[in-house]
Amino acid sequence: MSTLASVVLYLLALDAVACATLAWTGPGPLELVGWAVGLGVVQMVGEKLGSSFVTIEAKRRDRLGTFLGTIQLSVLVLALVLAAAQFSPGLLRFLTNVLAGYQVVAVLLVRLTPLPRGLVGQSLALIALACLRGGPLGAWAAASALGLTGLYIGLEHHSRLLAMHRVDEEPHSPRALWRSLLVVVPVALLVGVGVVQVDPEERSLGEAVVEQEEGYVPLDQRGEESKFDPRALRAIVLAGFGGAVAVYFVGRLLNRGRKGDPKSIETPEPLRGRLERIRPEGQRRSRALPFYRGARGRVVQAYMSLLRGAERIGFPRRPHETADEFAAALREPKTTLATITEIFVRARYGSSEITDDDVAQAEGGSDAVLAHLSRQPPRRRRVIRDADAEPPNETS
Amino acid sequence: MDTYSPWRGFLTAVAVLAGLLGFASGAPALVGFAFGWALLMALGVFASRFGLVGLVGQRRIGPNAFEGDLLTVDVVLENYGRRAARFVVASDTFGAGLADRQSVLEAGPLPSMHRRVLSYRAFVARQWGLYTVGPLSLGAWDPLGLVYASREIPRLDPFEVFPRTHEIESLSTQAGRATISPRDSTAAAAGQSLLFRGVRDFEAGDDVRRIHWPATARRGSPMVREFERDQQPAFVLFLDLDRRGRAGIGRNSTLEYLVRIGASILWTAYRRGDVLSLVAEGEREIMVPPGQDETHLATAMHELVRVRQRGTTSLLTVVDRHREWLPSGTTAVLLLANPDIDLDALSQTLQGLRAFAVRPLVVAVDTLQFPPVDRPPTPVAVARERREALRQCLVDLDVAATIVGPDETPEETLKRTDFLKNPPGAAS
Repeated sequence: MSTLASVVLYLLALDAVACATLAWTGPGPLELVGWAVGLGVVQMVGEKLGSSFVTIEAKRRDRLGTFLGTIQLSVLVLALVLAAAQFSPGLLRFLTNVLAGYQVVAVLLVRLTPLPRGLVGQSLALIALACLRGGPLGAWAAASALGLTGLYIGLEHHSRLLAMHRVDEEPHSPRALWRSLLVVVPVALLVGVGVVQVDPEERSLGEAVVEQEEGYVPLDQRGEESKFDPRALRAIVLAGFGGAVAVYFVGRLLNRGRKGDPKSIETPEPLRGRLERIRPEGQRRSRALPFYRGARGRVVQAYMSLLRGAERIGFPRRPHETADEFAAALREPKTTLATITEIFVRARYGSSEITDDDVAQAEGGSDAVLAHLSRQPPRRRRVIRDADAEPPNETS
Repeated sequence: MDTYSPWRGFLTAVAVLAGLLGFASGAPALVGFAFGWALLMALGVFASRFGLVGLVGQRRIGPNAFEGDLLTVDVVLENYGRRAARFVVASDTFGAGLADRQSVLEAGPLPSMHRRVLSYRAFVARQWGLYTVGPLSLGAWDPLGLVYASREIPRLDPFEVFPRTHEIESLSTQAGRATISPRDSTAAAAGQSLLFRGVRDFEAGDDVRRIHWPATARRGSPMVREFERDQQPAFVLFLDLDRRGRAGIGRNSTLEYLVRIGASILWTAYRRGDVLSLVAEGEREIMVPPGQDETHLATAMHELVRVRQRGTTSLLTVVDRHREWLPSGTTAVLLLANPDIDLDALSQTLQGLRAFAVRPLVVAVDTLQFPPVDRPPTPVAVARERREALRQCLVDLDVAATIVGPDETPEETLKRTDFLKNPPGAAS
């Protein structure tokens, strides 16, 4: 899954460069192919460098990553604010070239930190430049950035989640990809179509020419009357540098606050048991008494309810016991018990007719016995089930 | 795993910036990007919660363990929802472990109306005492890992950690024989040993495996074999919970020594198959009646890890009160927490036990050597003098005994070869 994530990351980096350059510098097909090959090679080198970065102490690596990330963030924010505030094709072309060049560095350092925020941020900055052009290209840039970024963080999340819990990611990769696509693709399509509907035309470079009179003019396009203003350049550099330092220290402060979190979480390797089917409520084995027909059935029913009642109070019938043996073991109330046992044996095993008196005696007797037992202290009778039995001992 | 996505904050900030830039510059694509991100976040909230629909979890764990044990805790996940569950995280709090939470992943698929048992191994890292396990919580991420939703199952299971025990070798020579069945110490009465006694008529309830077929064939009616009864060596531990025995703090306290030594003594008795019981009187009376099985040992251990030295009754009084209930042949261990006792009374108690054919053993924790907590320290000379007097008394009575001080840990004491073997100071 990590390989797949790397491919998606490469596509994001390439898409960003392609969109930005197509929007502002108009590259030929060969130039685009060159970018594709170049970024691919650089990313492979960057992935290889990852193993070297691992040897650096984690704390130092984090500090270096934070420092470089802060500088990068400051530059990107500054560039984007300038670009958005003053729509100037020349400036945007200049920024596109600069940021595309930096993209190579960002790809090279992709594994400096555990999370490639630098590369994603750089790519999104280039995408933002492309979005400023508007039209179908802007829509594509926004939609593809959303889709590829979402897909990457989805794959990266699953990879991290599985690795953290020591689960082999191989069987889960297709599902992770499918889950991520299922969420990301509709949103990306929706955004792309929506943006095209709202802004179908690209911004013409002509309207910017008018604004160019008072706006930023790159040095190479300035006439002789344009002079280099060192104060403005100094202000930009100082503001960028000051902003970078401020962001760096704020970031450190925030990180320090999060490190104070005392929770420690262990992710032991799970031992997965067998998958079992849950029996729905309706399909569970019924504990209700079986139904018997006629007077004979009512007597059997009464006797079985007596057995169930006796079991509930801790005096179950043993598997080998006959009705008479059970009555002898239960003992009380002697007369009633003997009567109901005798009627039950006749009803269950005999051939004589069962009268209504017999039924009434059995049902009344069963209730009487249970009422008697409920007034007695609970009894604990041990029953040895067949499953517990051991092979017979033949030693003597 | 941290439940906070490392990408969420970063990308949300990027989306907000993109939205602002889009509004400022009139670029709908940037606004669309920000809107798309907001939509992904909303979908994430929904999807993460939806992932938990129909899922039920419960924990299965034994009620106790010894220090340092490696336990298997089962988490049963049941899916009553309509769709298969995937990537569900079950987080549990195992109080006796060092980590705050234990988190296991069910990567799935867990189909509808199915259950799966996920087990994790937890190390009992904390000391003896009472702990809780739980609450258990089930959690799920959205597909992009941006939002984590969890549902807590507010059930706490009590969990007891027993002290690590050591088998005391010397006790085997002091009382009944080892528990390995069959025992050769039997009584001439019908019982459960493997020593053959005779045959008799079959009675209702007799095990059919005991039918003696040759005798049955000769007599024409079922006959069963009968065996002699095992002699059950009885064992009782009298634990001193008198508040005057309190001294020391934490692992170097008399309570620690009492509990650890008491646990090992009970464990040894259980391993030998003795019918063991525990008697103590702290702020409440503790009386674990005689019993032999593992559940009984767990009950005794349960009482042991809950004891506090808040009693006001001397151990000798407690022993005298229970003496007449002890069957002859019993081994009685007196675990004293205070050597500063009336030696005459001790002599009478020990001789009284012997009069009832009870074999007394004494383990005395020398409280005066521990840092005092609620009394002024005893001068060293006085402490030494009292200790020597106790030792001499035990030697005179010829009672196997050990006097334990803070200069060695309970584990070291229990591993000593002369522990409870001879009167203190006598040659082994």
